[in-house]
Amino acid sequence: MNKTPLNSEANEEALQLEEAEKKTAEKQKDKKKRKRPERKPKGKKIPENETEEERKEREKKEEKKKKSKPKDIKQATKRLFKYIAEFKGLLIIVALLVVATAVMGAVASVFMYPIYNALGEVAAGTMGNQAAFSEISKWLVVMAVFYIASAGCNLLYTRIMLHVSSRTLANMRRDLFNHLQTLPLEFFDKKKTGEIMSRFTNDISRVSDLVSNNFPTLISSSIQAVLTIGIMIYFSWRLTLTITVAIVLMFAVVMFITSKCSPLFKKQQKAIGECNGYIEEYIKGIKVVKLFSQEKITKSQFSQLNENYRRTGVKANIIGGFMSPMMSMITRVNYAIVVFLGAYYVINGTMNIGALVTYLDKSKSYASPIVSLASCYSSLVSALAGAERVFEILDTPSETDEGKATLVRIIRNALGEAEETENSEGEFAWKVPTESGSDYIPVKGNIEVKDITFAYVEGTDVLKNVSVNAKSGQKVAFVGSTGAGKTTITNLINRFYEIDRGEITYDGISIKDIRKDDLRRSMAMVLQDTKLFQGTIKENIRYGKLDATDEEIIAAAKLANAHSFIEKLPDGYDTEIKADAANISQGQAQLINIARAAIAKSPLLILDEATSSVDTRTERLIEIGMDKLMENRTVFVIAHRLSTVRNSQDIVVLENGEIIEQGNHDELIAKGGKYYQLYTGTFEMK
Amino acid sequence: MEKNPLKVKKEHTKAAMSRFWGFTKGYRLLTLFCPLLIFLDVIVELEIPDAMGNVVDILNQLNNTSYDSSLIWGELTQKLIEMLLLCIATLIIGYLASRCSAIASMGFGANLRRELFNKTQDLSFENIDRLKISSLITRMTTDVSQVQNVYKNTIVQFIKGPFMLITALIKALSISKELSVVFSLALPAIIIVLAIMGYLAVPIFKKMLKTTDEFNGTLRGNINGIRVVKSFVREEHEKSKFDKVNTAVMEMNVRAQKLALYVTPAIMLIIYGCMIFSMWRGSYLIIENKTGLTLGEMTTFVNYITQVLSSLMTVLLVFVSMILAKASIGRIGEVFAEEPTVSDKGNNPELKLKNGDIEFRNVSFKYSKDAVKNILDDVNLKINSGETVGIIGSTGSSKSTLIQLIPRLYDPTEGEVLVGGNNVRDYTFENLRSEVSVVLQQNILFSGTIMENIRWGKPDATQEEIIEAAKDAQAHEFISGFEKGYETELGQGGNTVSGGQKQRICIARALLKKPKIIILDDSTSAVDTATDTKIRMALRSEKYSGITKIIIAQRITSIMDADRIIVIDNGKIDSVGTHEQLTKSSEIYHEIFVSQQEGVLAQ
Repeated sequence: MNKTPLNSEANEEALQLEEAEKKTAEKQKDKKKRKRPERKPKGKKIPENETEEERKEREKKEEKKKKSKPKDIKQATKRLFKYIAEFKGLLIIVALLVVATAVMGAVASVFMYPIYNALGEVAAGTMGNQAAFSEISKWLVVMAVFYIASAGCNLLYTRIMLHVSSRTLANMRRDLFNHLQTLPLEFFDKKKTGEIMSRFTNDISRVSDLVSNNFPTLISSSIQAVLTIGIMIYFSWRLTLTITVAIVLMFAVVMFITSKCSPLFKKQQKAIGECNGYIEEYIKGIKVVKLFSQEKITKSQFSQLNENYRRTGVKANIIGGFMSPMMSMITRVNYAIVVFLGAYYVINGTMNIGALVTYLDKSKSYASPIVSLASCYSSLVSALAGAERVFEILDTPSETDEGKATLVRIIRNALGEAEETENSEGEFAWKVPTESGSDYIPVKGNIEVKDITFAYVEGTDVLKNVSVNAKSGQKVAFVGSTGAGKTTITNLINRFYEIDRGEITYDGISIKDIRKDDLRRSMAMVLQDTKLFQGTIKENIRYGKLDATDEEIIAAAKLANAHSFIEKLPDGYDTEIKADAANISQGQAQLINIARAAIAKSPLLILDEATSSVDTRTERLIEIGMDKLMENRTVFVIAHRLSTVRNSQDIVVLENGEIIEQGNHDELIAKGGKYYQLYTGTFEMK
Repeated sequence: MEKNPLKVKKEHTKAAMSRFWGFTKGYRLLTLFCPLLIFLDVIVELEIPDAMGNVVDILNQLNNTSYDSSLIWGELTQKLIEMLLLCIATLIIGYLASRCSAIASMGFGANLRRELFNKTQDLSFENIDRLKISSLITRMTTDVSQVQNVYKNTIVQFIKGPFMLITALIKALSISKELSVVFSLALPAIIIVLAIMGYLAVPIFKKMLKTTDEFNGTLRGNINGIRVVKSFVREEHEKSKFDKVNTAVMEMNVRAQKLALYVTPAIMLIIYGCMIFSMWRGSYLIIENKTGLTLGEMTTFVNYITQVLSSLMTVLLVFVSMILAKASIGRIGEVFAEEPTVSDKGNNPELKLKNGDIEFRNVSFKYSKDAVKNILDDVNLKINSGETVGIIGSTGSSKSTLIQLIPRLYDPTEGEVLVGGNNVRDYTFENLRSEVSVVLQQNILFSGTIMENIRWGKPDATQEEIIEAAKDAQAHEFISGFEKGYETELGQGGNTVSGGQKQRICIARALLKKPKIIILDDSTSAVDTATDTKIRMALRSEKYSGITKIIIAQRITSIMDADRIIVIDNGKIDSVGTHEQLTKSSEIYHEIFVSQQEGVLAQ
């Protein structure tokens, strides 16, 4: 023990030196981490220039917060392209096919020209019936071939695109999830679950639209627009020019109206948001509404929001619905102009009748690619905003970890030297790398908390100069009122959060020098809020030790006194736990939690209100099992119910982040201080 | 979400449909006016290909070497003016139609949403438990929007489609019966294509919904349980779990969309096939000059092909969307069909609680009629006004169930509950519940300030009253510690304060009502012992002396000073008495007490 402080001081110095290199090291770790589970090499592309992007992004974020528009279109597009880049080859094929589809579709209609001409010549008597008919048949066959080819190309490229977009999205979701696993707990504490979920669902599906729809539409609409205009120019540049001017003018009018009504749509979005928000909140709280007989008030409040939504919705929808008649009017007016001018040119002799009929046909489809390009733009903007929100998470820095000591199992050989072993019977040891190889320090479970100070938010210290010493096999309890900082200590011991000042050592090694994964593996935690995963009870207990046998699981469940209730369930250990563990009681969930921790057999055990929802009688029954569970382990216990902390060797009473009393049960009771008051419940009862 | 969202009971669909007429109230005329406008629109719109064909015929005269240009100009001008007038007409009709449909459909949606919300407010706890809160929310948001959209589409597209189809077909037939043969092949072809797709798609979409649910479940589980994941170092395990659902979702998605992929090219081919056929046949007829078909008529006919087929598509697509919406309609109908199991209809609003007396007479209760075992079994109990009663018992011993009968959250299966001298069934909910304050185990705060939340129970409370209630609930101190004090905004669900603070705000809210009976259902579980004691001290003060207090607790210290303590075990009253009496007489109480107080007794 004498060595410990020296060691850690040295460590601390070393750490400070390393501080500068921290970032680079962290990035490299990330790269490795991320690479491991992936088969495809594209994952590495994100971190490459991450540091720079991070900074840029964060600066931008601060500039303008929360806008539905992407902050940096270029940046988002670039990164999105990196995702699609994996499918470069396929995308080129898609582009070619899209072009082919559009070109063939457009060209096929040009074959109307010779057909009309032939018919015209028959009418004029310059061509024989038979000849004309075979001529027409010939062109119709060509046309059919083109149409079939065009439909075939369409089918092919949409199929490829489906492949590309679904893979891209799956990759994005995977990267997002994998990155999520590396994020510090702080991230999850600050963000709501729904918010994170929506990145996986709403935002990614907006990106999906972009990849699967917008990309082909963009290409085909541009091609169509160019082709249509090209063909029209070919047949008559004069007409085309006139039409273009007319159409631009009319579009300007439409755009003006659209811009006028876009605030209307925003208002509608806001109104429906408020409406649905109210529903969500007050239906969730409906039991309270009824208890306070507030139904009349909620009805009238909702009715107002509903009415507001109706009113804004009507306005927005009138304009929205009017857009399509307006668009078709443009096409028709345009048609009228073409007819008039065209007839003039035909009479003039500058154009022939076949050309005019073909031209008329084309001019009908002239506006549609332009309209779809315009609508493409708006969904593009929203998709990029979605992509950006995804990237925002990918850019959140991962947990830092510069710990080098790892947890291994060792056996002693004949000479008493430590040797690493795969055997799960071997004892735990810390493998600390030294200059000449590595040292093995047996894991004893000595935890020393030395003068730590910590704040979640700068300025408001949650823990102030707290020191606690837990020797191997000891049970240390933290008591105190809510918000006293009990849970925070455990958050620091397992490095969910990093200590601001002071240090915690584990068997003499500063926990900062222990790899996080290994540190956490060395301790089992039963946390305040019981979280079970969807899956069977067996799977949930096995979570503590993935290769546990059924016997081990049952043994752990018996230890936690969970066996008897599990057996009574219709499917026993194979009972499916539903989302939020709705089908078992809170107390039962806590028992499963304890079993899950028991099976891990770690040298250190942290129980944070582990039995708060278990009734006292059951708690007494678990106690025996708990005592067994705590045998030969260092245990940290947090409990409101003081009966569970009574037999601790050391009881630490916290108030406002400071230790106000410390000692064993008898000492503290004798002292008659805060603990005595808490324990006897005689506080201020006089 | 239900397991199978596409499965709907017929009676629920009926229940919804029969009410839909009522939701059109105020918008009926507009709803009827809408199809009328659409009808006009169709007629006008169908004139346009006609006009175009005429133009081509007029222009075709130019092929004659000896044409009269002034005659042609005259005809053209006439046609063009006709067309422009039609344009203006469609524009006006279009605007009116969009106006009508917007007002009618939004109005319908608003009526539906309001009635549904009001309905949920009238449901009993039992109804709510059965329908599930999360599902109710989905019904009121997603499902209502879906139905509103379908309503709009129905009054616009579903009527427009058949109009269009029939008129366009008649027009096409009038041009050329010979060419119209093409429809006899094309129309069934499209119907068959879409029917096959639909047939294949439904099971795949069902599966897709299921995998999506699984995906979301896995994801939510991971995010909510991230502490567990990290503390057990199971990131890699989680990644592989996620990989599985992620791949499954992707594959299902591909399978579902693959089908849709074939629709566009198939329809394209049908349309192009028709065009080519009619041009081929048409050219032949023109050349042979047997039926008097002109070039212009052929052009018109080709235009009608697209119109006929696309209007058929619209009809079918609206039809599909209606089928999909059937699930939503059914789910909404299920809410409407739900009869409130507890109702205060016809109760005398003048009947008020005389005092805080409570009496249970031979009360038995079970949540579901089919359940074999009673949750509460033959409970007889009398609590006098002003008494403080503690209730203790192990988890699942039905403590909460017992007190929920007092404000009539549920009705007993047998026996009766009397409060303030009358059967609870005789009061209006408002009269009963304004005098019975319950702080539930899982309490809920709403977004808004702390002040607003406490005031919630009594909208006309003064600031002083609020602070007083907060002081008694031991909430004043921490609230004042906040930067904005009572004006601190609580996020949705009150997420910005800790569990213990939330409970104290809830207690303050309940105290403010100044009820005759207050029930604390384990509502200080997240509050430390010292604060818990202070709250009880406050409740014992003179101010609350006339109020009946019922406290359910896990900790014996929370109830040991009560006038009487009720020990409940397995839905039955095990024993009643003071702390002193029970430690001697009740084995269960003694056991709990010893386990919690061993240390003290040893002193």
